[in-house]
Amino acid sequence: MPELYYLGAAGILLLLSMVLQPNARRDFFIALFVAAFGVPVAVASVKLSGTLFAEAYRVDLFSQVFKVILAGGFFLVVSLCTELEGVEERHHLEFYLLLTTSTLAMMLLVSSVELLTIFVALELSSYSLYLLVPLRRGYDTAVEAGIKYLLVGTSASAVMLFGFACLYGVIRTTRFPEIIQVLPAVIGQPLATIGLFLALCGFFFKLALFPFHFWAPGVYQGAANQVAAYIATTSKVAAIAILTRVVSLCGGNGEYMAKVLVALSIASMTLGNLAAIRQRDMKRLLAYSTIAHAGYVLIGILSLSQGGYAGAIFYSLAYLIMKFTCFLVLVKVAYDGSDLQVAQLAGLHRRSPLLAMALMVGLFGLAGIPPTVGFTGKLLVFTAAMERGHFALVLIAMINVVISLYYYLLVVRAAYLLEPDEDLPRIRLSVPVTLLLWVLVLVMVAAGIFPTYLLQAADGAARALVGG
Amino acid sequence: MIVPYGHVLMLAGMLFALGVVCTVARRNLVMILLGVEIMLNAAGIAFVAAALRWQRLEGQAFVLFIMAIAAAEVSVGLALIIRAYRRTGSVDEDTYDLLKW
Amino acid sequence: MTLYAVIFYVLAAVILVATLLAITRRNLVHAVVYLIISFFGTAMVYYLLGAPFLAALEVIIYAGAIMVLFLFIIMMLRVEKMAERPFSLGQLLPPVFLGLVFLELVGLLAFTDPGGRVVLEAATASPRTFGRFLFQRYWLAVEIVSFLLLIVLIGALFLGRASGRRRPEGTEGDS
Repeated sequence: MPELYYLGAAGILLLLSMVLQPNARRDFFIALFVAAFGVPVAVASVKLSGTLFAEAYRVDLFSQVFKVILAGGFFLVVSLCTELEGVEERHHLEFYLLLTTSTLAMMLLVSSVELLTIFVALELSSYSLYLLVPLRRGYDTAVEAGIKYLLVGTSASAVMLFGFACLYGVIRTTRFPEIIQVLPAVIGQPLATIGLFLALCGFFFKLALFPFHFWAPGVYQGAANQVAAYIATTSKVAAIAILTRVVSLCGGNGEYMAKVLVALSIASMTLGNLAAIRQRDMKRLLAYSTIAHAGYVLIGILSLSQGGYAGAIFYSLAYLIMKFTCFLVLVKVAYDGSDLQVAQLAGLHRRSPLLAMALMVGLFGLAGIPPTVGFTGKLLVFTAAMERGHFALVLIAMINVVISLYYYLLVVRAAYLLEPDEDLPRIRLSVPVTLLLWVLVLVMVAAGIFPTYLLQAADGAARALVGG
Repeated sequence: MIVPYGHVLMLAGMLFALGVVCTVARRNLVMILLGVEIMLNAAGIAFVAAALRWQRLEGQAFVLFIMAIAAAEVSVGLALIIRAYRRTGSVDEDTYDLLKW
Repeated sequence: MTLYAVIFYVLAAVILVATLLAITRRNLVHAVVYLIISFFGTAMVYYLLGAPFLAALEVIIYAGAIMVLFLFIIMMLRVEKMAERPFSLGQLLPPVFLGLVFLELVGLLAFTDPGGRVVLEAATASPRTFGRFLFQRYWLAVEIVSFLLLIVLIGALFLGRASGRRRPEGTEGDS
C-alpha cells in the first residue's frame, strides 16, 4: 500500500539526512526516484478495499483514487526541484523529508474514517507544511509567513476540535460508519449542526476557503516556490477529499449546511477573484485564484449528490494539473527561486515559446475556457449544483468565471504582448522538463475533450463514497 | 450526579471564547499562541464532558492526542518566534507586515 | 446540589477568572502564571469528570511542560516587560463581539438541545482501562502522533539551530 511505501521512504530520507553531506544534485535524484516510484505503487493499489484498525481506516476506491492523485502531485512537485535555489543546500534532504511526510499524512487522511485519525493525520500534514514554509534562503518573509501559517492553522485546528467535541457529544461515536447511521436523524439538533460546521472549519483552512483563507497570499508569497506549488496543488486535493468525505456524512439531508456552504462558496469565489485583479506578484495572484477555486469546488461538494462529489473529484485532479503547470512555468522563469512579478513575465513568448504556451493553456484551464479540462470540471460541478436547484449560485459562479478571465488574461498578455525593458536571455529547458510540459499541455486539452476515462474514475470513486 | 452536560459545555464554550479573544485581539505573538492553547484546552474539557455523557472513552483518548499536538505546536511556534525575534528584535505583531493580509 | 456539583462550579469559576486575568495581563510572565492556575483547575475538572489519567497528564504536559516552555522562551527573549499598548477600543471590540456571539450560540445549544440537560453520572476511567482502550482501538492514531512528534522534533531543531549558527558569522539577512 502506498502509505507504507511513503513511510519507508520517509524513514530512508530521515536516515540519509542525518548521515550524508548535502549535495543538491544527488539529493534531488534520490527524491525524484522516491517520488517517481511512489506513483506506480499508488496506481497498483487502486483496487484494494477493506477496513483496518478497528474501522478507523478505510481503503476504498475513493481513497485510492485520491492517493494516486496525491502521489502524482508529489512527484510533479519534486520534479520542480531540479535547482532548488530557494532552499539552502544543507536543508535539502529535510525539505524532501518534509514533503514526503506531508504526502504520507495526506494519504492517511484520505483513508481515515474516524474523527481522531482524521485530526491526527491532518495535523501531521499541516505541521510538515508549517516547517517547510520558513525553510527558504534569504527571505525574511519566509519566517513571517511560517508564523502566520502556523497561528492561523492551529487556530483553525482548535475550532475544528471544538466542533468534533460538539459532534461527539451528540453522536456517541467518532467512527464514520456509525456516524452515518446516526447523523441524518440528529442533524436537526443545533449542537450537531454547529458541531459539524465548526469541524469543517479545519478543512476550510486547508482548502483556503473563506473565512479561513487569509493565510494563502502571504504564505504563497513567503514560501519557496516549490513549497508554494506543493501547498497550492497537493494540499488542496487532500483537503477536497476529506471535505467531501465528511460532508457526505450527512447523507443528502443537510439543507441547512448546504445553505451555509453556498454562502461560503460565493464569498470565496468573489473575494478570490476580485482580489486577484490587483495583484502584481504571481504567487499572490495564484493564491487568490486558489481561494476562488476553493469556492468552485465547494459548489460540487455542496450539491450533496453523487454527481456533485464526482464533479469535485474530477475538478480536484484538473485543478492539480492546471495549477501545477502555472507553478512549473513560474519556477522555471524565476530560476533563482525569487518571487515572480507578473511584469517579469514580459517577453516570455520569445524567451521560451513552450513555457508561454503552457502558461496560457494552464491559465485558460483555470478560467474554465473550453476545450480545456478546467472547462469540463466546471461543467460537471455546475450541472450537479443545478440539479439540486442552486440556480443563483451557478449564476454567480459564472459571473465569477468572467471576472477571473480578466486577470488570467492580464498574465497571458504580459507573457505574450509585453516587451521587457532589457533583453532577457532565452530560457533553456532540459529535456525532461520539455517533455513534462508537453505532456501537461496535452493532458489539459485532451482530458477536456475526451474526459471519459477520468470521469469513470471520478464516478467510481464517488460511488464508493456514497454507497460504502 | 454531577452537573448537566450543558453546563460543562458552557464552561468549555466560555473558555473557548476567551481563547479566541486572546488570539484575535492581542498583538504579541506569544500571547496569540497562548490563546490557541486556551482554545485547545477548552476543546479538551468539552471532550471529557462528552465522554462522560455517553460513558465512553473515545473522548478521553481525543484529549490525550490534543495535548500531544498542543505540545508539538508550542515547540514549533516558539521556535519560529525565536527565529523571527532574532531577525527583527521584537515579537510585536505589527512589525510583521512584510506580507499584507 | 451534590458536593460534586458545588466543586464543579467553584472550579469553573476559578478557571474562567484565571483565564480572563491571563488574557488581559500586559506582563507576559503574569499571564502565563495565571494560565497555569487555570490549567490546574482544568486538571481537577478532568478528575471530577472521571478522567484521572488525563488530569495527571494535564498537569504534567500542559501546565508542566508547555507552560514552562513558554516561560523559558519568554525569559530568554526578555520580552516579559515589553510595553504593550493597552487595547484600543476599536481593536478590542470585534473579537469581544465575536466572543459574545459565540457564547450566546453555545448557551443556546447547551440549554435548548435535549442532550444538554443530561446530567452527567459520576464515573471514572482507570488508567489501565484507558491504556488498554487506547492501544486497542486507536493504535493507528498513536503511531501517527509519534511520527508527528518525531518530525516536529527534527523541524524545531532545525528552525532553532540554523539561525543560531549563522549569527557569529555575521548576518547578511541570510538563512
